[in-house]
Amino acid sequence: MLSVEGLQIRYMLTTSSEKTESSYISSREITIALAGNPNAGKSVVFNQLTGGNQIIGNWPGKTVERTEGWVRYRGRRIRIVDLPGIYSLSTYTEEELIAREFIISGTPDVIINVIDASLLERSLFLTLQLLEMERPVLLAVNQLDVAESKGLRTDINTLSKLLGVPAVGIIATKGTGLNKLLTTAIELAEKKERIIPPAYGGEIEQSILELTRLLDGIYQEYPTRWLAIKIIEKDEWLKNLDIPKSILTRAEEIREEIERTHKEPIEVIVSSERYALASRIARSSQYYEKRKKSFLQNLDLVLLHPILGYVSMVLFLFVAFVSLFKIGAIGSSFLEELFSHLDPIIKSISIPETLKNLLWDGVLNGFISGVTIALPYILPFYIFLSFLENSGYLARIAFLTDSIMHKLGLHGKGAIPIIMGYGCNVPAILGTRILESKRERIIASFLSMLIPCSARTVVILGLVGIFLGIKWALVIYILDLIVIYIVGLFMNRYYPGETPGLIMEVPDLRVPVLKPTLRQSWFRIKEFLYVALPYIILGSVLLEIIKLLGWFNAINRILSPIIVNWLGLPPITGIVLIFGLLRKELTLILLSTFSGTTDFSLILNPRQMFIFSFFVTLYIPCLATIASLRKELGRFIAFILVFLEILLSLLLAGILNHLWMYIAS
Amino acid sequence: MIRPLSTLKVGEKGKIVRLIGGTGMIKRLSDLGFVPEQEVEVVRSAPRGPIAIRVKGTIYALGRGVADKIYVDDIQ
Ligand SMILES: Nc1nc2c(ncn2[C@@H]2O[C@H](COP(=O)(O)OP(=O)(O)OP(=O)(O)O)[C@@H](O)[C@H]2O)c(=O)[nH]1
Ligand SMILES: [Mg+2]
Repeated sequence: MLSVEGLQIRYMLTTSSEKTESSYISSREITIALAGNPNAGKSVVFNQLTGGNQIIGNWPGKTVERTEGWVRYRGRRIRIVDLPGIYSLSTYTEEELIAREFIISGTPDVIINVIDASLLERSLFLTLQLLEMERPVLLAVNQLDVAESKGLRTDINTLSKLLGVPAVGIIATKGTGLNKLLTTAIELAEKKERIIPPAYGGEIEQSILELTRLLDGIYQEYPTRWLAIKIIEKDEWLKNLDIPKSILTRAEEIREEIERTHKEPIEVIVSSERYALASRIARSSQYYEKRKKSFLQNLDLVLLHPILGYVSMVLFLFVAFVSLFKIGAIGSSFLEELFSHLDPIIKSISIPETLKNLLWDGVLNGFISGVTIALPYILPFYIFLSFLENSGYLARIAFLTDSIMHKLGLHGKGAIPIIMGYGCNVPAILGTRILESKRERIIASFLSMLIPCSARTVVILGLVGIFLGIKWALVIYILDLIVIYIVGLFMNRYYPGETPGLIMEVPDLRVPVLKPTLRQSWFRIKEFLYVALPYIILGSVLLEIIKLLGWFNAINRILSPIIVNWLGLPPITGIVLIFGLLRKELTLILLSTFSGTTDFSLILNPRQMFIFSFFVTLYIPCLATIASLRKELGRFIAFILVFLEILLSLLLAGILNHLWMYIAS
Repeated sequence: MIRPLSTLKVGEKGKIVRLIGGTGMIKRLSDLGFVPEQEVEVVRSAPRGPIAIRVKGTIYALGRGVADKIYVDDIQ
């Protein structure tokens, strides 16, 4: 009864003066954890409360890390912790383990259990498990708008009464109810009331009661009822405790008896019992009015169709690709035109000659190239990505590609991080945490590394797309997919292990809510402006310095056997490719600053353009990607994967180059 | 008639009678609501590919191998 002792001490300290008590309470830091099913809207709540930029989207398993943020409320600091989504407190994947760990051992003052009101019964399963732990739980009944549109009306008061904890109805995307949520959470943290979990039914409840009596008074730090349930469930976690033999034997007897009557394994019986209660509570607190099938539900049947589904997927991706290219090309030429008028004006300012080289050729040209070459492609791409994420289409792609993914040693869920790789490889590698085994994570990480991220897209579209035509850019993307497929086949074959079956929620399709979706794109673009642009400018300046020092030719000479003889590229690309280690779009941008033009046809012939872009697509992950590989999979595996990728890119690009030259001659 | 979920056609419904397979998978499925007596409906089924099942208002994608291990009976 540690917490009660703590309370008493606090009481004694503060009775001497009223003033200290109130100031003590109001200055205490409160930790609020956001827990709930995947896709319930925890991260939207987090972003709204803290102004954070957690990735949100309409598929299960976006948040894969514990993330903390702060909010000030009436002058006090409140720590908010966003957790990965979980369906139950039993865990299967790494990201779920993170959530469970924090709920069990992180001792938050309040757990805000965010639930999707349109999936009430399923959500309450986890709620009941949280209540079993007798933690201060506050129910945030989210997505009331979605529930409403499905014809579901929720009676929050009844829900709160039946569960025995406070509940607040919210619409996170609109910010509705969040103020009340926060005040209620703070009140709850202050009160420290005891939670009385609702009773289950049948033999399970009786067994819980019997074991609770036997366990009474043995353990102080854990709720007795919770321990009793864990013992019945034979939970792994119990290994941490030294439970009296007599109790364990009695539990074994009880368990066997229950299993005999139900003819099911105990974990299924316990789950059934929790669901029976969840279902009773849901039925008493929600009313359903039948609605016609919505347009999106009908569309969904097409998108998941065994034939039409694939046709629409290919069509959709093709249209997206072409429009992104077109928008990018128009934006790029517009900006170029704009800067061509500005350039002479700025350059007419008189400053010393050497500085001029550094400033104008380095900083200014770097900035201009970065903005004109990269931004026009990246901007629409990020907006597109956010809409894709929030519509729910990603989960459909995962469903459709399950069979193909199995050939690569993955299942459908593996497609999600790989597709995220088109945005950026770093979150893709982090995102592999949603996969069940280490083997799958390694395979999926390697395949994501081979996906052209937005930076490489800039190179492919800006070089091959503009100068050789969009068809050739498409060839690179398709070639890349073929490479990925073959690499996957090899990995599946030569890396022993089994692929678990797919079990994944496919959330309803939705029209993305505009504001949070645009906000998400804005955060990514901001990152490009604040992180990439400085790199680009730095890279340009460094290149100028290298030129001024006269090292330029020496470096290119060292690299020439690979760059010139094997890959058939002009010598200057060597140094540019080294800078590409920082960020991939640097390769093209530095090529432009170096040659003083954005007309790449002056320095590269068509073959060289194609080989250069293809090589940049594959040759080595950027530093940020290498760092996340190392963090997620360890130094050794990171090293092997990077080494393999370099080898693969050299091999393929070189062969392609020689093949092209042979055919052309 | 008791048969694996994977043999149901699109639009067919059934009532779960039992789950077979490893403890991990059984627990995962039962946590998601695949428990005995539960009604399920096949929403989509690709030949030899995964199937989409509606359970308690949610659609889940299940690999064929997983759906083979869930046995269902007709609904009376
Ligand atoms: N219409 C509507 N959409 C919502 C609401 N709350 C969340 N969403 C959407 O639901 C999706 C999931 O929200 P997230 O906040 O990413 O979910 P999460 O609980 O963090 O999910 P994981 O990180 O995967 O566990 C997003 O597309 C949100 O825009 C809501 O109140 N109304
Ligand atoms: Mg989240």
